[in-house]
Amino acid sequence: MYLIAMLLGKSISFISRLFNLGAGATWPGEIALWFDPRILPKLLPRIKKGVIIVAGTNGKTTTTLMVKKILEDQEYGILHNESGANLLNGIVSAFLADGRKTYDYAVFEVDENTLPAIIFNFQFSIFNKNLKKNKTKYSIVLLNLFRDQLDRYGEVDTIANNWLNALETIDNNTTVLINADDPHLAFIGREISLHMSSLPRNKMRGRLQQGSKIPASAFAEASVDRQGRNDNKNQNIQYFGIDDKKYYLPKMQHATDTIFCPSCGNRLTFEGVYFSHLGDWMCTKCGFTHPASTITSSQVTSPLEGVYNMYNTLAATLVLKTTGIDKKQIQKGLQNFTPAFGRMEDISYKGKDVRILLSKNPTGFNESLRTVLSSKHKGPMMLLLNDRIPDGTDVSWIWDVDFEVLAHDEHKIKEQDERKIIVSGDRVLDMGLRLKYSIDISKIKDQRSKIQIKNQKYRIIENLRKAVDEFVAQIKEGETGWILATYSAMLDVRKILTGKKIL
Amino acid sequence: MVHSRNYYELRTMNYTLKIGWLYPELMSTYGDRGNIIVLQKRCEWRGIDVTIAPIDFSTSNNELRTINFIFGGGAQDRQQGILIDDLQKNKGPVMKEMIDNGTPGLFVCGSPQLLGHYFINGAGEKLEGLGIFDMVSKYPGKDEPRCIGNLVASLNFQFSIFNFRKNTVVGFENHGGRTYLGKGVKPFARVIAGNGNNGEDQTEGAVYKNCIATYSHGPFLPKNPHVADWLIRKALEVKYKKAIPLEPLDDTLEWQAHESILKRFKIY
Repeated sequence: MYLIAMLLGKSISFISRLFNLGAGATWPGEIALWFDPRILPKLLPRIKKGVIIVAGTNGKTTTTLMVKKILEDQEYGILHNESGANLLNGIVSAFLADGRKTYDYAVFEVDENTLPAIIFNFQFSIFNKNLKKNKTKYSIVLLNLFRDQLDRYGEVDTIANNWLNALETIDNNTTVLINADDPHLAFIGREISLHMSSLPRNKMRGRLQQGSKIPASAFAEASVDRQGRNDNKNQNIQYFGIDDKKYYLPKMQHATDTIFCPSCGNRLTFEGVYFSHLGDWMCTKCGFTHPASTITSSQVTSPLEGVYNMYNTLAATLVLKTTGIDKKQIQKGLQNFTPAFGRMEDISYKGKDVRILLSKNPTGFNESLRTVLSSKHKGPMMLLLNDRIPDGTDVSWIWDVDFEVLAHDEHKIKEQDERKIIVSGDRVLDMGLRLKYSIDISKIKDQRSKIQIKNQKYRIIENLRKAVDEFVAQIKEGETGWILATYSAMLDVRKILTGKKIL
Repeated sequence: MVHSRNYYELRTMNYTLKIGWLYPELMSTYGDRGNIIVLQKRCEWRGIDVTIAPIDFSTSNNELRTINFIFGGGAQDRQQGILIDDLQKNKGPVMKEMIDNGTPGLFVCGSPQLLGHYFINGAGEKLEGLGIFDMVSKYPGKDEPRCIGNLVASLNFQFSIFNFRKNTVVGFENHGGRTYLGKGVKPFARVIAGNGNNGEDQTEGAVYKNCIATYSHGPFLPKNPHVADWLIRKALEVKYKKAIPLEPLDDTLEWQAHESILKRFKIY
């Protein structure tokens, strides 16, 4: 079965590339999995040094690309999946599309719902004797968990629970690198470390569930125990986080998901938040606190604007460090980093500078707005909202985005000249409505003696091509035009701007 | 017609409304805030001052009684578990008294399940509701799919919001549970496209006194300005004990967005 699966998968991959069918990223894997559902554990021994998995709601593609580029600079043979092809079929397809027999490292971005399946596949391969011998290391990066496409992913808590259940099966060969500023992920980290330590975990769990006073001391005990045994060099759980208070938001954003203690349910206390529910938090009731980070923002320089890119940089740096890459090499690689398509990507179009920011959920959109408003590059903005399958068919989330910040947009392009905003996409009217209700507006009476809401700031243009033309015409000499778009809208606008398709 | 009256009184009288939001930090799943923003702005544009008050653990019953409008959004299971005790023991009885006396409210997404007699969750446990709405909710079992997608329904003509020109409501539903109405409530609307309460009897949502429950989740009011204004009128009427006319707003964009959903289902 394995042979048939490989043969078929490979030929489909080849044909798909030959005729440029554009389905090469997932279909070969899908077919191969149909013939042999356990094909992945059989393919994993081809990776000789390490497998790096990046999971989280936002930042997967950028972090994966950073890790991949820096490993490539060290002349390692890298296998990676294509951006967006981050389900099981995409990962199997990556093996089938690549002609090489062995690789040093594999770097995969993995969909939130697929992470447990991937981990179970690894565990399966760990029982594989060959793999045990060659001691491939596994690294799993947990970036963040936010609300995203509820119609597809379900609730944040469900995903976190599935992650925890899967991660509790890992052994000493696996390192989990966790964003300490996300309380839910820190909770997962604590639970795994409790599980890996010799503490009678079931007893702990029982205590947790009864909501009695928390084993914070037990946690300390566990970590001492673990460090003692593992001689500090073999820490299986490591954290990264921001430690610079200048990134604190003046007030909490509306789109937060974990502001109640994942351990006891009490409201968490935040000394400050960087965005959404990422920040310096602690639970005053059960004593669950922010874990100490191995690496913090003061030790790295992010090559891209935006606080979220600081997290991506931290995650990439930490995983590369634990992989054994020299600090200087990491720094050098980061300096030369160019972003992935649609993620702070700069495009020159008709002599104008345009920058695209993929913004696909409330947290992502909030951070994009923050980046635009605080950037030294001024210029008009275009907001594109689609509701196709890759975007999520439910556009309710735009009401969780704090568009109200636009009212305090102090980066006027010129005196008395407000930033122009153009709205387009499949759900242009929904986005227009959201803006209508977000910006403080002057009202006038029209002939029908109705109160009319007057707003010069934004324009609704349904046709994307016309919207792009209008938008580009607004960009003046020396300015940058900012495009914030959901996934399929980003691909559409990119096609117009570059004249070619990406996927 | 109230609209032909002079609005002098509205502009000179300083009307105020206090909008209460049930556990905003726990019950705010996916754009639920849109409803609050729409109510607030539509009041403010007409010169009605609005304060938004959270109804949460620290809210006393006396404070709760000063609220003129109650809004409830959706909650994840864990969040629901955190608040259910406080809601049942402390807030529930006062809310029932207020709603029985005419305080209007809007309950979207999962919150209607809390207002019925009981709901049976995915684990098969029976959880007591507040018993304000005569209805019950249950999960149909794992084999039944979730109800996800755009929802279009026509308003119940027995209900004073009904208007021949604009008698539809549009929303987006995403729920696993199914709700069955008793005799003590009226259906809010009749399903044209989507599932509504249970996918069987074509009912969508429920109306009890001046309160509306709907399975539309998230921002229901932005694309249904007629419902928003009906709720504002009711809140003013109950507070000031007389009908207060609302100045008409230019809702062109709101209705365009509403109709764009109707067009998707070729209902026009």
